[in-house]
Amino acid sequence: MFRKLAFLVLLILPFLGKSQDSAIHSVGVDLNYHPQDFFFHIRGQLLKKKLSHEVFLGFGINKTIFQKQVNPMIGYDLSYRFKLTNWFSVSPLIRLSYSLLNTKVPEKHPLIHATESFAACRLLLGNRNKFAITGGIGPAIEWKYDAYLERRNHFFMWNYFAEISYYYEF
Amino acid sequence: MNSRYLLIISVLGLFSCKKHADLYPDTTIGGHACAGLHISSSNYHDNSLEAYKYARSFEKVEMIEVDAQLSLDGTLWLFHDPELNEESTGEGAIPQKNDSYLSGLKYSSLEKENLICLLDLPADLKGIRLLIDLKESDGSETGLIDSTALLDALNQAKQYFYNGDLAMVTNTGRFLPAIKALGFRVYYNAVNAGQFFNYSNASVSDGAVFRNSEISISDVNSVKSLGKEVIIYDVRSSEGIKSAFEKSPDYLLTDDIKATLIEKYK
Repeated sequence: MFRKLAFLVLLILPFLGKSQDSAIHSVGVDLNYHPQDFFFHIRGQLLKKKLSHEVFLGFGINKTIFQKQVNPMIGYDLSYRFKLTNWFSVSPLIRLSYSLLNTKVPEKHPLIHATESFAACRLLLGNRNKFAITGGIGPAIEWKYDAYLERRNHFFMWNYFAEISYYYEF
Repeated sequence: MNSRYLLIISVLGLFSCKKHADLYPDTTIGGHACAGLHISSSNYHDNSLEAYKYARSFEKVEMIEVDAQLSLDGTLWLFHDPELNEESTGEGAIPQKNDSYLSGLKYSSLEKENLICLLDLPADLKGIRLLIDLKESDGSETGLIDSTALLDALNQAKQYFYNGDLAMVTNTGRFLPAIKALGFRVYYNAVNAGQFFNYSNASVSDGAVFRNSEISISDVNSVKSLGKEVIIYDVRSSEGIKSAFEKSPDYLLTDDIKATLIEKYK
């Protein structure tokens, strides 16, 4: 129960407090190397003071394009921007993401779900047009039907990613 | 309004559990080194208990291959490389180490899985074929492991596992009749089809194991025409998986189980 509450508090924490007039919106794209695939994402960012909220939506390139099986991923980044110069900043960030893969096995249980969380760091270069390099590592849980145990099961693992992104700031 | 319908249709399409046809019904999928060897998409280190359980969790994966080496105490340990320091916290070679030393080792992966011996795997095979790729070196440059210790270890494995088949891959073809007498199917690890045809024990073996890059469709057909089974391994990319399936081997030992399932059931 405590863990659920703590998770909720963490999620709403950035939204607490006075709203800032200085909110900056950005849109962007990224190419993400992940052990399971190369992912392409589109992303939207809201920067309030130094706190950035981003949502992203994308797909695994190998699975979706070369294997013609949609492998969607959705996620959220929360980061704090340390502006070192006018054109360079560093952001530690927390990422939560979810992805889904349908293996098409003609049994009742073809779907594989994965939820991941990452602690990461992002280097941002530029002003209105920004380029970023991000890398992170964190725990993940993949859950699916387990044919050996004959029930739903989850598999704990560690994952990592490296990502290059482009943002356009409005 | 239109976009709402489009969204609903997309979500339904995405989550639908439509049954797909088996495009390659003559080929059974197996896991190479459990759930993949030297590939980033494998969630766990090859030949670990975690990787074995993960590979077993997939429907339609009906063969698991493991790499085994005999320790000084005559126990079969699951490990691929000749030297422990390449992938684990240990040093030296498994055939020159005791079980007490090996039992404290971990893989040098993010998950830090334990090294395990063959009999640490669940005894109930639940209908699959467990393929043991036996590394027969004794840890020296040219020496081979002791035959008595090897046959004892294989006999123990035969007593331990149930509800499935046991098979072995051999590089040397030593003691083949004795191993077959224990109830193992035996496959010869061949460089190419020509080598298999020239192999003196080819008629005694149950088939051969080939790298995908070293065997053609006609080679597969030639081996199968002798009544022998063909196992293809070393497939990672979706193109490699497709090319291996098109050769119609009896088994495809894949390094990427998810990608292979998608290709088979498109």
